[in-house]
Amino acid sequence: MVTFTEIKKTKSYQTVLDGIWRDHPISSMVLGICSALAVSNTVANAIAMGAGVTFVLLATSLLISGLRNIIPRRVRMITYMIVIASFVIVVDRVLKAYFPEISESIGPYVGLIITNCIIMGRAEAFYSQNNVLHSVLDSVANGFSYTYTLVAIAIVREILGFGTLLGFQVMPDSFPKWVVISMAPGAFFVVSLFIWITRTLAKVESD
Amino acid sequence: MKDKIMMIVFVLILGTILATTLVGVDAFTEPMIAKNEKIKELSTILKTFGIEYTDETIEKVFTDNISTIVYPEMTIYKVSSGEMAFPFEGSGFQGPIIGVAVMADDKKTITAVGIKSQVETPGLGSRITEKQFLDSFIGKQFDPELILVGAGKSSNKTDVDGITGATMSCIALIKVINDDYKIFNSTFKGD
Repeated sequence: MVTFTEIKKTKSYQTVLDGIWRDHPISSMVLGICSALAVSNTVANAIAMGAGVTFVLLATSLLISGLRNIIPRRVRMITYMIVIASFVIVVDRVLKAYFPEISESIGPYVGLIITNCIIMGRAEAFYSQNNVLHSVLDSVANGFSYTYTLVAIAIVREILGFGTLLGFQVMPDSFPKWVVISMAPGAFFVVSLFIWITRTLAKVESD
Repeated sequence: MKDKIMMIVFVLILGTILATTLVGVDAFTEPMIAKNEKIKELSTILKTFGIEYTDETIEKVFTDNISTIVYPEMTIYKVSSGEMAFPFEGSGFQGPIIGVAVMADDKKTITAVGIKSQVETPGLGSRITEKQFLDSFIGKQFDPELILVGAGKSSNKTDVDGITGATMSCIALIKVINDDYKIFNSTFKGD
């Protein structure tokens, strides 16, 4: 029987914990902020974007960690770029085919997953040096953190900005909509509040 | 030498994996994307005419109610009541604006305007798709063309009220509609 203390010592456990809490991509490493600001205005967009990024992370981690021993060091960056770009095209096509409305509302930001530093950062820092199992765990953990953060921000922004949640009216008609929250400046307020709260909870020391 | 061979082997492996994935996904999604595009196009026209439909019946509703007349210059849509619609397409402030305008029998008065797609600045220029703004076109006349005026300043049938904050997109939209109206009008000169 394996005890929880032993599980805690395994690399898999550490990897997942790093991904979803200690090295949280948005609040701890402040990566992927651009898309977090842009598509967190409604919950549906946030879920679609989170799922897209998670899929690209997962596929990239599989391929990069699988090929890590034959990727020539000189061309590793361009390799990550090509791999990420290909999977982003896959996400874009699937969204267009099955979720045309979401595809239209987050439009250009799907293409911008390519430049999402979370994926590039994880590829360089982790997938190129670790085996497939740990890389996949890391990608799922990071994708999950990115998604739950986006959804948390989107819940606040959608309720205040549109008075709805996942498209359903939750606030009374008399509720004055805070249009500013659904626009870019509002995203800055909510994201910074999120980072402040999580960093305080995690007791991250500032450098 | 070994480095170079490794590089070639690597490029071949990576290229094969990625190319297969992309070709596969493309083949799989192509028909659905084409279908979505078609629905989008038909639904814009039906909505602008004010005809009810569901996604399943859309093609039947469209062919039952609307006759499509293809001229070399422009495709025109006609309903039995005599109303006609012409498509418009042109540059907005950020990118293409595509839509459709429904004209009354006199070929001068607008009865509805619908926008299929646009990529104007979200929250500012994109407000040209708001119902309130599009509804303000109803009853306006091309004499000989529409004129954009400041918000709340329209005084006669050729004036369209702009939206504060979306001025550039409004200017672009009015220009696109005016340009395509000219083609629509000249198409019928011979009739």
